[in-house]
Order: sequence, then structure tokens, then C-alpha cells
Amino acid sequence: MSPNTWVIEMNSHKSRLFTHPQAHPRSQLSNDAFARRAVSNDNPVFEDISTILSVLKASGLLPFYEQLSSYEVGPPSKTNEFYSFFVRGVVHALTIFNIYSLITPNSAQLFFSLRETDNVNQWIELLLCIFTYTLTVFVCARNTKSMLEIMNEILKLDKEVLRQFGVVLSNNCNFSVKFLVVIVCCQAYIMVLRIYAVKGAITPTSYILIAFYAFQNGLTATYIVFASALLRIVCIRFHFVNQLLNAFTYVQQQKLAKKSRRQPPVSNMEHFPEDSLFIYRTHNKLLRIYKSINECCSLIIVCFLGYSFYTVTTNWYNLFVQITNNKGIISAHILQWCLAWLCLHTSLLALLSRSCGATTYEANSTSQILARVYGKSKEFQNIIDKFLTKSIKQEVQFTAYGFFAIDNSTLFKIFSAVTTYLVILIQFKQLEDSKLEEQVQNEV
Amino acid sequence: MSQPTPLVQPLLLQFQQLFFISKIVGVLPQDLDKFRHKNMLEKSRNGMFYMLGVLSVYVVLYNLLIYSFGEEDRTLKASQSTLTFVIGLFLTYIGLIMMATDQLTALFNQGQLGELYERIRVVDERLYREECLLDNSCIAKRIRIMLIMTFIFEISILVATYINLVDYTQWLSLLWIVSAVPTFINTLDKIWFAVSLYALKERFEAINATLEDLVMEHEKYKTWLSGNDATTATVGNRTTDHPPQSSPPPQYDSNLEYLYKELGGIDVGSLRGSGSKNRNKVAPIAHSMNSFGESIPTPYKPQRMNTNPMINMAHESELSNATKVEEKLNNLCQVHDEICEIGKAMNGLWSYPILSLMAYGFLIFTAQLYFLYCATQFQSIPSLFRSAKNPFITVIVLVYTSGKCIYLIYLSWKTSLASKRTGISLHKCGVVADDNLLYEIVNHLSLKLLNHSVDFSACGFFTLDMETLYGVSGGITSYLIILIQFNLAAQQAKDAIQSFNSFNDTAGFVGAATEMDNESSTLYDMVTTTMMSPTY
Amino acid sequence: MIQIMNWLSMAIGLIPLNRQQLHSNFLVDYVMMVLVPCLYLIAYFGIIVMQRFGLAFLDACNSVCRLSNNLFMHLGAFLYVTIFVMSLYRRKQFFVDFETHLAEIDVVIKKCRQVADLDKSRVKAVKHSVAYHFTWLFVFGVFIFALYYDASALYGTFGEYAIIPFMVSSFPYLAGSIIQGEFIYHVSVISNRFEQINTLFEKINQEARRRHAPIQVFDIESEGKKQERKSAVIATKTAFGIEQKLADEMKRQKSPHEDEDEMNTSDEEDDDIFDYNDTNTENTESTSETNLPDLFKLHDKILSLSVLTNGEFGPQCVPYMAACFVVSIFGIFLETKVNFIVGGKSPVLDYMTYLYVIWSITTMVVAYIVLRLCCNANNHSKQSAMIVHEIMQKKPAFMLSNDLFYNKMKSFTLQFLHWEGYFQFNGIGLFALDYTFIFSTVSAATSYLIVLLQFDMTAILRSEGLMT
Repeated sequence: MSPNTWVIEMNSHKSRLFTHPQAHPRSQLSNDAFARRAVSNDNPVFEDISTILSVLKASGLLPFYEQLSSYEVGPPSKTNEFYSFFVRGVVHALTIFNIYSLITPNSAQLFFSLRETDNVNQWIELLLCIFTYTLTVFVCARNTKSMLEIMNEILKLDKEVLRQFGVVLSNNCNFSVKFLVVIVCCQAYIMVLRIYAVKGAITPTSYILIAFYAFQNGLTATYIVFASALLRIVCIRFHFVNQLLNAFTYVQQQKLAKKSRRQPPVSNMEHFPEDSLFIYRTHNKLLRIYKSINECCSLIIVCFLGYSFYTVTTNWYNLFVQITNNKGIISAHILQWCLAWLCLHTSLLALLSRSCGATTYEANSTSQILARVYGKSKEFQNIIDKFLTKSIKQEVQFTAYGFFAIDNSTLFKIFSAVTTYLVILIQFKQLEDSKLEEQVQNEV
Repeated sequence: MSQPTPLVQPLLLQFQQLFFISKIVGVLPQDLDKFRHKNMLEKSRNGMFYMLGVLSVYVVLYNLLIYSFGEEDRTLKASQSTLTFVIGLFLTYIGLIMMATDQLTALFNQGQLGELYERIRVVDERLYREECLLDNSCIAKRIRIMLIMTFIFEISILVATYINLVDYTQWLSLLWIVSAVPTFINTLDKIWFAVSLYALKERFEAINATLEDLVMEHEKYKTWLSGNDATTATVGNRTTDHPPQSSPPPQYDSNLEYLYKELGGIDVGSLRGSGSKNRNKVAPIAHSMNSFGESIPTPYKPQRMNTNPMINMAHESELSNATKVEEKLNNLCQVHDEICEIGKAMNGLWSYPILSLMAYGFLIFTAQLYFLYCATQFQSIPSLFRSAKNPFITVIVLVYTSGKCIYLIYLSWKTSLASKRTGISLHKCGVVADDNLLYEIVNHLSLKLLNHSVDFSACGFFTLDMETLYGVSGGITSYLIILIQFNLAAQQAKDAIQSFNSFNDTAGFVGAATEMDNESSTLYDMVTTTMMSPTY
Repeated sequence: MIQIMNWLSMAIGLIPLNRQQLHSNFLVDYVMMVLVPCLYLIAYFGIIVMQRFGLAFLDACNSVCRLSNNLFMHLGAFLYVTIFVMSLYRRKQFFVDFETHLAEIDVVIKKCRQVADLDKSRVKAVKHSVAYHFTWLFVFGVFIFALYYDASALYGTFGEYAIIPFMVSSFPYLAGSIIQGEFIYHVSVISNRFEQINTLFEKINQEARRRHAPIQVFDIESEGKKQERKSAVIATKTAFGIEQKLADEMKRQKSPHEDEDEMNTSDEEDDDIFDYNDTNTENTESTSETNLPDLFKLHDKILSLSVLTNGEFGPQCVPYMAACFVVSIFGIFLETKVNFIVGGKSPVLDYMTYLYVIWSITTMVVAYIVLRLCCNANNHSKQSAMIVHEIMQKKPAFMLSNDLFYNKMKSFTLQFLHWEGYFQFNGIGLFALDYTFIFSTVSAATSYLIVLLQFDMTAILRSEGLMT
């Protein structure tokens, strides 16, 4: 039952394996910085999400890993490490400057408001944003090694799959570029709105603050998109493993039997033992990768969810207040502001929920598919039993730091919580308004 | 599977009346002729055009209805804030949205619906081969009962509202009939789902019953083997507990089916006829839902031993031969998996309509109760909710709406439970035989069954479980408390300001006292007007 | 104690007389079940229609008092009608089925105990602990106090006609609580049977432990040693028998097994005192293990009995818990917002408030006992699986999969997993009757109370003349 036995058995079935012409010489390369020169012929790793990766690398959230081969990355060189440190230092300095100018009247220009509560609102939003981004930077700095390990594990898995089946797994992460575009547009739009809303001449401090605010939000959002992209990659690999397993289920075997019209379809179950070992091993590896992504990202995701929840609630509230304004003056500025924020955050929440939900679903469906494999011999049944016994009650979940699981239903729960708070807030507002109205009427 | 006559009756045979009504009203677009002749649901372009036409007609009529009955709403808009008006408008249209969702989903899923019932037919055939007895006749009865109840509810709400609350001197008021259309179409669509779900539950129960029968058979075999009366205490209750039927229905023994075919050239399994006339069909399985199957004996089992001496089944048990029964258990497990997959497919087909139904139910329930409260306080309410002015009509509306939602959730829960019971029955087989080989088979299949899950959910947002109902009712109560609380507070504030102002006027001195009196009896009025017979 | 409750429930007309006999006089059995609800309905509709004999129609009763009285009355009506309809649904059938199944289970348990050589000379008396008696006394005391308070207050107001308002105020809650008492009784019977099979499992566990020293658990060699020991050592049955009885005696004195109100989680695992030599093997080891299929079947049967009980009493739990919830919330609301401020000024209002508080405490006590017992039964059921798992681990042939013993254990573990996914004591699936239910109701009650307590009662109280 230990993984070692499977590795030993794997070697005996090499006769059935395809060999990729490029893979073998490369696998002899040592993890040496000097081998970098041979890299130029290889395909870049994680091609699909290269834009996001470069953005995150440039801002210090991800390390500048060295690509050692098509399927391996190494730790960054010294200069690149220094660069990452430098960027993080600049970010922290700017954060401190930000907080300092918020406390002093330097930023008074940016805070105009109709009511006292709006001011408090903006304060809380700003603080949450700063907190989230600072936390992101800290956690990313701490997790550089584990992030590299995750990437290496994924690449190793891809290499293994290529060696066994000759299939190159695509990543289907085009959505990341689209989301990046959306984020950039929204942030730029918000910046412009902010600049226009400021009365009088704008001080450099205000420029810095506005730019940094957009920068923080944009990068936090980009990190969330990156996490979703990683999850999508893992999901695709789970799906591949499930497809492999699906070929052995009784439904598929019956279809093959109908097509072949020859002897009873025992022939396809021949490969079941060695394929099942590969599948189990790959599934375990993928589970480990999934769990390590969870550990890396969960604190950031918790803070982001809190920040997002708060932003969505306050923006919906402001939107409602504007729309139902009895005085008839609808401020276009506030409308656009609210819509931009809502658009950004809702799409990010939906993306995160869907990625987590899809990956969890794929991970949990392996045992369901295995339950459909019917083998005649005791050996097959034992193989199936081993995996099924191990995965009893092993509910794979993507948790937010252990507080709750993120799933397809998370979006719905957030939505219903937001609605409840909105109802309460709107009722308070209506009460206030009706009292004001009565007083005004009676004065008249 | 390529036989000219099918072994079992297709399930769709029971749906004749329902399909006819659905086709006329515009709920399903499939072909009517093919359904009548072949009992299959197939795509039909004419049906699609008809449905789209009917949908647009309904939309137009509904908008006309809202417009013509909406004069009150326009004055409402002036007096109250825009927000209340917007919410009122949204609630008014949600019925239409629900109806449109149902019909458009049915259009998109035309082909897949037929495939679903084809899969059920294949499952029935496999069950038949495993000597698993099913009875489809209760389904037609169920459909009829549900249709009758739908009609009763819709007509009573319509007539009661029309008589009490609509000004029927104008001929335009006949348009009020259109207000019942969205809910009626929605109910018809849900009857399809509910009855198909019930059919799946019956198949799960059939598998469970087969396993329990194996157990009982083996127990009798053991008793016969041991030959003593040590276990009559356990078996005695069953054999003496003959059901009080004077003449049992004619037995349809699956083993004798081949004999019947040879003797008369008739295929007993494919005798046509409406549901109630299928006397030649299998004896119904009497398994109550509340207790386990083994407490209420199947009526035909003891008689089977006595009336068929030529089939030597009285002293044999399938479970005593592990290798032979392995095939049967494997097949049952595969059928169980197939039914779970059909359940998931059904859930996928109906996920959006169910989501919209639950949203509709939640919103309308809250809104109706809140407007009932507002009506007792003589505040103005949107025109389409005028049924809230009369508590009895409100009760009927609430029972109808919540009944639909609760029944679907309850049925999903029960089906889920029935699928989980198979593992338990399987283990009973293993325990009663106490044979190593059988234990291994049972363990292996049990592990597989642990991974067969059928959980119904609405688009993955929430599961269709009774626990969801618990949460939803908590949510409704919270919202109601918040809304009513604020309404009361606003009322109090308004009254306080008014009384303060009129207190200053000498002429309004008396008015203050009466207003204070009104305020004090607010609570009492609220309760009594809802409980006693209201006169509006 | 149980008998008193049974008589009371028969007298009130909640369960039919002669409930365990299928063929008895129909009229005699159901006469109370028809009479008492009719009385209740007459009283209820009489008060509403005639507007007399009700607390709400007294002059001294202000609007707050009227509202709370109406709520109490209508809630009671809802509770009583739903409970009565559900009781009527199965009538005797449930009790007959329950007794039949219980008899079957007891027969098999007796057989297993004979095989396992347990308590040959002891009468199986049900010994109750102090806590059990104390709980019963406490519950009876609280009920008697509540009924007495209500009856005396109403007698003071209405004289001989007090029976009519009494029927609509306290009687429904009393009826609901008695049905819960029946539920508690049946669940405790089930719990007791679980405990008995747990002792039988534990016996097998001890034997397994005695045969295999802990060092040799995963050792293949011990398989050979086991064979040697079996053939080599002679066992004296009497010697073992005496020691086994001693062991059982010590165990029984340590923990009262038939205690329905305490959780016996740690008792069965306290086996350090039983440190026997390995040389003392026994012949009864094999006979005790032959109990295993019967024990597995028993476990399944007892769980089926639980399903039956839950099917009968679970639906009746739901309106009871709902009524308890509403009464508690309103009790807290009235106590803090009304009584705290204007207590003592209006006796009728005070009476209503106290009535709410008393009945909320009473129903909460009963609800807590229900939850605790259901949890207990669940834990006992889990305990069986844990003991079997322990037995499994002691066998050196753990890794070999063609061992009958191993397959049996594995089959039971899987069976238990299936049961766990299928059944837990619940109320029509709405909520599980567990301690988590307390958590969810308390959080819901907190959020409602926060909203309700914002309500400003001073204006109303002032207008009623209770405040200045």
C-alpha cells in the first residue's frame, strides 16, 4: 500500500509507454544554475498564464524563478531575489506613507462626503484594502518556496503524463488575460473618477495615494485570478485522471463490446492494474498539490473575501440610495463608482467560487468513477477496494483558512448575507427619511 | 434490447393525460402523435413554434393585466418611496419570470427529456430481468390527484379573489384570469418533475425490496435446515400475519412468464391499458415508508411457496450459493448506479426551473405575509397582491405555493434516503448468510454503494434537502420580523409627530386622544383582524 | 415513573388504551382519544365565539396582555392539533410493531448472553442511578408547579369555570410534553439494548485482548504462536468462568449500565485492571465469537427500531420545538420589556408573563432531555463500531483479506458507515436531534431577540396607563 511499491512496479511496464524524444535527455539535467544555458530551446512553463505571472513577478508577489527545463523551475538568482526584496520594501514604505497621510490632514482633499457615515465608510474600505494587500505581500514573501514547489510538482506531473501517454495537457487559462484586462480597465476608470471628483488642485500626495490605492486593489485582484488559474490547471489534471479511469467503467466497456463484436471485452481490462496504479499515484499527487495551494492562498483569500463582502454591501447600499433618491438628483459619479466596484468584485467572487467548486467536484468524482469499474477477478476488486477504502469520508475541500469551505454555494451564501444586511440598512434609511420628511412637512 | 415487444411497460404510458394538458397549455413542445403511438418524447419543430407563440401571448396578456389593474399602483408610487415601488414591481413580474424560465428550459431540453425516459425504460428492463418487481399503476393515480388539486387551488384562488376583491362590473376585469396562468404552468411543469422523481424512488425501493426478499428467503431456508422451532419467534410473526385480503390479486410470477408466452403467445408484460386496469400486472409491493420493509410482510411471499410447487424455490436460497448470487448483486449495484445517474440528469434538466420556483416561493411567501400585515394596518399595497387583503385567500395562496416547494424538497429527500438504504439491505444479505465469499462480495459492493450519491440541488447553490427548508423558514421569519418592526416603528414615529403637532392645536385636542387610542389598540387590532372573520 | 407517565398519557387521550394488544375493543381503546380533543375544541371555540371565560376578555387585561394571551392560546392550539393528528395517524400500529421487534431483539440478546456465559445467575434487573431518579423527580416537580400555578391563578379569577381557560392555556403544552416523554421512554429502551450488545462486544474484545499481547499485534509470527497456544494449552472452563464473572462484577459495580441519563463513553475502555496472563486461554473464546453475526444483526435490528421510533415521534418533535422556541422568545421579551418595568401594576399581565416564563423553562427542560437521550443512543451505536474496530486491530491476520473474521469485521464497519449516512434522530429531516440543534436555535433566538428588543414599548405602556 505504500507508494514505493507502485514506483517499483511502474518500471516493469515501460514497454507500453511512449517516449517523448525531448524528455529523456532533459531529465538527466541536474538542478544546477549552470544548466540555464540549455534552457533556450525549451517551451516556457505555464505559457497560458505568462501575462499574469509576469505582472505578479514584477510586483514582487511571485519569485523570479529560473526555468531549468521544460518541466522544472528553480529558485531565483541573487539579483532577482534582491529585486523582489526591493519591490516589497518599496510597497511597505508606500503603505506606511499611505497610513501616515491618512492620519494627517494631507489627504483631506480626498475625503469629501455628504454625511459623517460616508466618511467612516471610506475609511474602513481604505483600511481593509491596505490590510489585505499588505497581508498578501507578507504571505507571498513567506510562501515563495512552497509556490515554487507547487509549480515544480505540477510540471513533474505533466512530464510523467507525457511520458506515459504522450498527451500534453493544455491549461485553458485564457480567462486570466481577460480578467486582467477587466481589472486594469476598472482600476483605471476608478482612478479617473476619483481624480475628477476631487475639488481644487490636486496635490502630489493625492496622486500618490490614488495611484497606490488602485495599485493595491489591482494586485490583490490579480493574485486572486492567479490562484483561480492554478486551481483550473489542477482541475484539468484531475479531469484527465478521471477520463483515464472512465475508460474502465462498465458503461464504457459495454460500448466497446458492442463496437468490437468479437470476444467478450476482457481485453481492455488487461491494462487496468498498471493504469490504476498510475492513476492512484497521480491522484494522490494532485491532492497534495491542491492542499498546498490551499495552504498558500487561504489566508489571502479569507481577507479578500471579507474585504469584498464589505465593499459589495456598501456599494449596493449606495446604489440603492442613489436610485431611490426622492429628491431626483442622481449623482452620476456615485453611480459609476458603485457599478465599477460591483462589476469587479462580483466577477472575482464568481471566478473564485467556480474554480474552487469545479476542482473540488473533479477531485471527489474519482472515487465515484472508480465505483463504476467492475472487474471479474479478485485482483481487480482488491485494487478497487484499496482506493475506495482510503477515500471513504475523505471529503476534499478548499477551505478559507479552515473557517468555511469555498464552493459553488459560497457565492449564493454571500449573496443572501448581503441581502439581509441590505434590507436592514435600507429600512434604517427609510425610517430616517420618513422622520426627516415629516419634520420638513410639519415645518411647512 | 432489440426485441420487437418490450419486456416492460414504459413509464411514459402513465403520463398520457398530463402530456395532453401540457401540450395544450404550452408547457412541453414534444410531438403529440409520437407520444400517443410510441410512448416516446421526441423533438418537434411545430411544438416549439406553438410554445413560443403561447409564451408571447401570455407575456402580452400579463403586461396588459398589470397595466389595467395598476391605477392604484401609480398613486402608490407618489405616496411611497421609489424603493418600495421598485420592489413591488419586481415581485409582480417574478411570476412571469418563473413561467418564462420553465418554458424556455423545456424548449432547450426537448431532446434530453426523451432520452431520460428511455434510460428509465432500460433500467426497468434490467430490473425485470433481475426479478425485481415494479408497479407503475400508482403513478397515474398520483398524477390525477395532483392535477385535481392544482385545479382546485387555482380555481378557488381565482374565483375568491375575483368575487371579493375585483370590480367585476367592467369587462376588462375578465383579464384577471391571466393572473393564474404563470402559477398554473409552473405547477404543471413541476408535476412532471415530481412524478418522475417518485418513479425513481420506486425503483430504489424495488432494489431494496429485492435484497430484503433475498434475506427473508435465506432465513426461511435456514429455518427449514435447522428444523427446530428456535426461530419461529422471529419467523412466526410473518407467516401468520396474512393480510386481510379475501382474494389476492392474480399473481404475476416472473418465472412463469415464459410459460405464459408459450401458452398463449401473449406477453403479459406488455398488456396495455390505463393504469387502473392493469390487474394482470405485478402485485403491488406493500412497503410502508415509515418503518422498515421487514416489519410489514409482503403479502404474496408465503403464498408463493404454497401455490407454485413445481418451482422448487421453497427450500432453496439464492444466498447460499455465493458465486451465483454475485452476478445478481453486481447487476443490482449497476442498476443502482444507473438510477443515481438518471437522478443527476433529471436534476440537471430541471435545475433552473426549481431554482426559480424556490426563489419565487420565498419572495412571494414573505411578500404575502408582509402585505397581509400592511393590509390590516390599512396601508396601501400593490394591486397584484390584493389577495393579501383577505386572510383566507392569503392562507390558500400560501398553502399552494409552499406546498409545491415543500413537496419537491420532501420527495428529493426521500429519494436520497431510499438510495442510501440499499447498502444497509445489502449488508443484511451478508450477515444472514455468514459465508466468507459472500462477505467479500458484499464488502466490495458496499464500498461501491458508498460512492453512489444522488443529491439534488438547485444549480449547485443549495441542496434540495429538508435542512434547506429549515434555513429558508428561518430566513423568512427574520425578514418578516425586520420588515414589520420597521413598519411599526415608522408608524409610531409618524403618529408621534402627528399627535405632537395636533396637540398644539386646540381644535386637535380631542383628535390627539383618539389617535392615542388608535395607537394603543394597534396591537390588538392586528391580531383580531387576522384571526377573526375579516370584513374589508 | 414511566408507568405514571403512561397512565397520564392514556388518561389525556394521547395514546390508545391496550396499546400493545392488536385485537381489543375498539371503542374502549379510543374513547379518551375522542373525548379529550372534543373537550379541548369546545373550550377553544367557545372562548373565541362566546368571548367569555377567556383572559383576553377581562377588563383588567390591556392590549399587551391580550396579545400575549392570544398568542399563547393559538400556539397551544396549533401544537395540540398537530400532535393529536400525528398520534392518530398510526394509532396502535406503532406500539404493536415496537413490542414485536423488541421481543425479537430480546430473544437474540438472551441467546447471545447464554453463549457468552454472561450473568448466568443474575437476574437482569434494571438498576437506575441517582441521576435518573433525580431527573424524573425534577421534571415532575416542575410540571406540577406549572400546573398548580396556572390552575390556582385561573381559579382565583374564574371560579368553577376555570377549567375552560385551563384547557386552552396549559393543557396543550402538557400534552405535548407527555408525548415527548413517550419519545424519551422509547429512546431509552433502545439505548438500553445498545448497551447490552456493547457489553457483549466488549466481552469478545477482552477475549481477543487476552489472547494476543499488545506487542504481537502486527506480527505475522504470532499467527503461528496462536496455533501453538490453541493446541497446547488446556483451559478449565470453570476457572475462566469464575474469572469472567469477577470481571463482569467489577465492571458492573464501576458503572451502572442501565443508566439512561448518563453517557457511558469511557467505562467500557477502562480495562487496565483486567490484566490476565497469556497462558490462560479458554474454550469459550470461539463460542463468544460465534455471537458476532448475531450481534451484527442485532445492531442492525436496533437501528431499524430507532428508525421506526423516529418515524413515529420525530414529526411530533417539530411543533413542540417550534412552540418551545416561540414561548421562550416571547417569555424573554415580556420579562425584560414589560415585567421589568411595570411589574406588579397589573396582576393579569404579571400572570401572563409568569406563565410564559414557566412554560418556557418546562418545555426547554423536556427538549434538553430529548436531545440528550438521542445523543446518548447515537453514541452507544458508535461505541459498537469502535469496539469492533478495536477487536479488528488485535487480530494479527489484519492484513490478510481472506480471513472470515476480518471480513466480518470489515462488513460491520461498512454497514455502520452506511447507517451513519442514512439515519440520525431527526425531526422530519428538518433538524438533527443533536446538541448542534441547541446551537442553531440559540443563535437564531439571539438574532431575533436583538431585533425584537429594539422595539419601543414605552409608548404603548404609557398609553395603557401602566407608566407615567
